[in-house]
Formats: sequence, C-alpha cells, structure tokens
Amino acid sequence: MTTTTGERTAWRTEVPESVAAVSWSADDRVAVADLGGQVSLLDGRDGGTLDPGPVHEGGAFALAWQPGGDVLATGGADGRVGLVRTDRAEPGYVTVGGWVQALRWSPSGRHLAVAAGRDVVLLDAAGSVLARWVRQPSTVTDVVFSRDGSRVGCASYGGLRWFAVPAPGRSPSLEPVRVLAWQGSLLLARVTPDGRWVASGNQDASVHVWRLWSGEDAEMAGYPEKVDALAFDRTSRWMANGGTTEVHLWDFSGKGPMGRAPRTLPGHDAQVSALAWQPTGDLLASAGRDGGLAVWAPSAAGPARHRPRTRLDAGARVTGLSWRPDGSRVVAGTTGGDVLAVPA
Amino acid sequence: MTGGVVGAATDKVPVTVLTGFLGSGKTTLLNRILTEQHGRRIAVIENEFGEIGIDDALVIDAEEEVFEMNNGCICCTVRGDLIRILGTLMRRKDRFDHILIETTGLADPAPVAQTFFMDDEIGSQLRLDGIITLVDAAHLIQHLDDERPEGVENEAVEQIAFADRIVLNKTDLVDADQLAEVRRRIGEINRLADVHEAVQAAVDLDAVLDVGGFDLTRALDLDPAFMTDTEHQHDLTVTSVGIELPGELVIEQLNDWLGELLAEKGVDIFRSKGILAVRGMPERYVFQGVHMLFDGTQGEPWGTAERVSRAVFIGRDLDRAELEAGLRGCLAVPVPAA
Repeated sequence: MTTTTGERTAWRTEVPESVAAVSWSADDRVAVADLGGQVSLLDGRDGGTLDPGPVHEGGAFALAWQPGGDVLATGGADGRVGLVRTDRAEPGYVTVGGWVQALRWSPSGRHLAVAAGRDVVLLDAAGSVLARWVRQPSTVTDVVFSRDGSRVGCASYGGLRWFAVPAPGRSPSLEPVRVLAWQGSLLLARVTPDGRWVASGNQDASVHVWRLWSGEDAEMAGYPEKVDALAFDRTSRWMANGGTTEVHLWDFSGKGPMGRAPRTLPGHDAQVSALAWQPTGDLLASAGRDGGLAVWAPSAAGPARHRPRTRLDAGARVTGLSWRPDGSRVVAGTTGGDVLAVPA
Repeated sequence: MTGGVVGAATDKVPVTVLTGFLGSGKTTLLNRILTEQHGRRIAVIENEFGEIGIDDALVIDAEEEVFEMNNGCICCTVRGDLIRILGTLMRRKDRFDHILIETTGLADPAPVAQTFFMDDEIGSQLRLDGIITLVDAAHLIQHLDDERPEGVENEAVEQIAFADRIVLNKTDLVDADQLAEVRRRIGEINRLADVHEAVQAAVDLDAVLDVGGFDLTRALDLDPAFMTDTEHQHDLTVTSVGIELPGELVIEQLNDWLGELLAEKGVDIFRSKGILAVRGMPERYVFQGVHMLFDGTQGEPWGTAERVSRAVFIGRDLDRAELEAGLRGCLAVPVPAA
C-alpha cells in the first residue's frame, strides 16, 4: 500500500512533532498529542487550528474526551494530567507522577483512570484524586473500565488487576478485587461494549482474551510481531487486531472466539499499527507502520477475499486513528506529524 | 529463537550500553561523552540519577523493569522500560545520532541486549553498537573474588563477560604489577573485549561510541592468536573459547547445531559471536547471540580472502573440545581434527 488510489482527504494538516494519539470529540474538535509534548486542538470541519491544548514536557502520549461532557484529558512524560474544559481558556493540570501512557474515562464520564508509571490514579472530572493504586507488578500500560464503571482494570506485566471504584465519600480499597493473571507483558487492553469480554495485545506476539463473568480465557499466539493494535466493534461481536500485516477479525458471538479461525483482511504491506471501528456503523479503519491507511466494510462481504473500500498513503507510520462521532470521517495521525481526515 | 536483525545495516541508529559498578567512574565518563560530543545528538537513558544537563542531549530516567518473555525460554528476559522509551525515541521527528543506555552496577546486561533481539520494532531501527564495561582498576579483583551463594551471579564477572569493550579506569591508583594482574584476570574471562586504560574516565569518544562490538568483522580481528589457542579450558569459571576452522560450513547443520547448543547451554553461554564461511554463500555469515537468542546476517563478501570460519563463546563451564567438534561437524566435508 504505497500509492494513493484516488480517494481524497477531507483535510490534511501538520503538528510540530510525531503524533502519538488523536481523538475526535462529540463537538467536532480533533485533539492531537505529539511527542514534542504539545496537544493541539483542530477544527473537525476543516483541520483549522483552535486554541492550543496542554503541554507535556518530554512528549504527550494519551488523550481522552469525556463521554457526554466537554472535558479533554491528556497525559505524557511529565507525569501530569492536563484537563481542558470548553468553558475555560487555560488547561488545568494534576500531577500524578510517572509516565502517563494511557487514560480512560468511565462510561458515564464521572471518573478518569490514569496509568501513571507503576501506579493507577483515579480522578473525578474536576481533577480531584479519588484513589491511587500503587506499585503494580510493572509499569501500567493501559487502563479500562467495566461496563458499569464500578471497576478499573490495569494492564501490566502479569495480567489484568481490577480495583473497585470507591463509593462517594468512602476511602478506596488498595487491594485488587480481581486478578486475571497471565504471565506476559500486556501492551493494551480493551473491554467489549457489552462488558462481557476483555482482551489484551501482548509484547510476546499474542492476544489474550478473558470472559469477564467466568474468568475463562484463551490465547491467540504465534503472530509475527507484538500486538499493539486491537479494537472491538460497537456490537461486541468482532475484535480486530494487528501483530501482522493482515487485520485479523475474531468472532465473539455465541460461545466466543475459541475454536474459530479468524477472518483476515489482507491489504497492508507492513505491520498493522492502528485500528478503529466506526462508532455508528460497521466500517473498520486500519493503518500500517508504512503509512498505509484503509477503510473496510468487513460485514458486507462474506469470508471471501476482502478489499478495502478506501485506501491511501498517509506518508508515515500511523500511530493514531479516531472516528468522527457521526461516523462520516476518520482522522489519522502519523510519526511525520501529519494529521489527515478521510471520508468514510 | 531468532529475533530482529541486530547486525550490519548502517542506517540504523547506534546504541551503546554502558555498564559498571558504582564508583567505577560511569558518571564521569557520561559527562565526558556529553560535553565532548562534537555535534552528535545523543539521547541518554539512565537508571541512576546523574547531574547532567547538556544542550542537544536528552536525558531520560528509566526504572529497570526486567520481564520474561512467555516463550518457554527461561533466560529470555527483556527490559520493558527500554522497549517503551526506545519506541518513543524512534518515532520522534528530531532524530538522535546515538543512544546511550546506562545501567546500574547491579543490572544484568543480558536483558538489555536481548531487548534488541526480541522486539522487532526496535531491532529494525536501532543497532546495538556495543556493550562497554567500566571497571575500577583498584577494586575489580576484589569484586571478581566476591563469594556468592550457589546460583547467585557475580555481577562483576557477568559485566566483564558481556563486554565488547572494557574501560579500565583509575589506573593511576594501582602500580604496574597490579595493573598487569587486573588485565590478566579480565583476559581470563573475556578474551574478545579490547581493554582501554584510562584515568578519570578519559578515553577517546570514538573508543566508546563507535565500538562495532556487534559488528563482528572488527570484533574478531582483535586477537588472532586466541582463535588457535588450544589450551584446555573446562571448569566452572567464566572463560572464553575461540575456534578457527578452514573450509565451508553447511547452513542447515550449522543452524541445527547452534540452535541445539544454545537451547541446552544458553544459560551458561553469555555471548557467542562468529564470522562463518557457508557453502554457497558469497558473503560472510555473521552470527551472534546473547544467551539462547541468536541472530545471523550476511556480512561483507569474502572476495579473494581465504574462507575461514571463526567463532567465539564466552561463558561458564565451556568445553573447548566439544564446541570445536560441534562446529567441525557442520563442515561440508568433515575433516578429522588435527
């Protein structure tokens, strides 16, 4: 995938450094975190620059828009969480310590879980610290919430450890309420929208999945490289993951993916580096380390040979993909500092 | 058991690993490198807080985080912190000319080196240039002789064994006899590393930043006599064995033998390196390993040079006769030992 095949981008712009993360908000703003440390806010309609966002010295790594709200949370190498509110010009900061590699809002938007070095910090939307779960087995690489927002799952070496979100006014319990142990280094974790499954992409070239109610688990191993891209679709049926140059699609309907072969979407010349499902429909955006970008309609075709409906060259490794909440466009950020919005 | 390509390609950013005990002069050397960097943009990843603030250099603190890869290979450990930090450095638009990784005196160098084998993304963009071990001439022997309970590694021995280059520092604090004894002890463990003497960690920058320790065409030229040294070495201490064999090897047999050897004895073999003549291959076959992981790449063409295979093993309880017989067994036309 090295040539543009005619599709045009809706807009294309640049940020100062290599992009680490992109995220499109409900009110049509695109937040871009770059490794120079700047968070840029762009107009989702035309890519125009809005007010500058937070700065994280040493690199900005993570972004999350509050669901149903107007707060943008950001994190990076400086050990701080940046909080941007629509009604305030200046971003606020909360110091949490350690590299902030990941942050995620609870489904209700009331809580924000932050991976801060080997600790996980729970904040409320105003930035007050509600809990700090210290010294996980290794650096926390990702944080997830259970569907009802009552538990925070922390991915690190050795599995997923779950902590209870404290009730208002109560002090948090520092012991995990549940441990999904697995001897391996987890790079990222995702929970299905229906809350039944959690999956991790791993350093040792595998995907691990757990059924949350029973703890039953399974492993998809033998990928050529580490799995650092993984996403569930809105119906909770399909999991897409990288680890290879093809997108793998696993069917989680019924008894789950155990004993089933994945569908494969061939179309990248390099390792798949980013994946994002359309929030309103069935489209899947995928991107590769070589800058190849594709949009697929995997459910439209049968298991026969799939072809992307859109493909183009983003110019450099794509490190972030995010859909416009209305599903009309997807934005990609690259290590070359390019940000491009592509029509679905 | 092979991972990313560690060898040849020159467009990769070189990475130097600096190890040594507390007090050996690492911080002095690091400061020297950063102040005399001559326009090179250097990123330093350090485990111990130093007091360094130099323009054009980026200093990142790392917390050593060693973990096992879940592949059933017991000594296959990597450094999670380095995967994250190097991953971020490689993606930046403003590139660095060189990356320096400083490890603590107690850190095991193996997971650092193995990270370059085990993570393809890192192996494809960065080149492990060499492991530099800084030692204190006045205290090395004491560290080497430090008794450990069975099963516990002596870190000083390990750091000497892993080194591509040794900076023998503080030579002004010992007399000539003591210095000779320190050099002899180093040579007993690691015959391959070249030793640079220094006072106040004053060494030529090129001697530490461009070692080519993982570039074997240079590394194996250091001590030709060693390759034919047939002195019996078989005990539990850490030693080096060099083997030189004329003739051509069969690649399939070589892979089988090396794979089996490192699977069985990988825990005890710290480093293995070789430049081999392989039947049907006009280029030198360059291999190197850290414990059980090894990696082979094509080196320079042989041209008119005599096709001779040379291999070196550094480790514990090495049996020269067995190693030589094994390599000899890979020869295209087996010839009996002299």
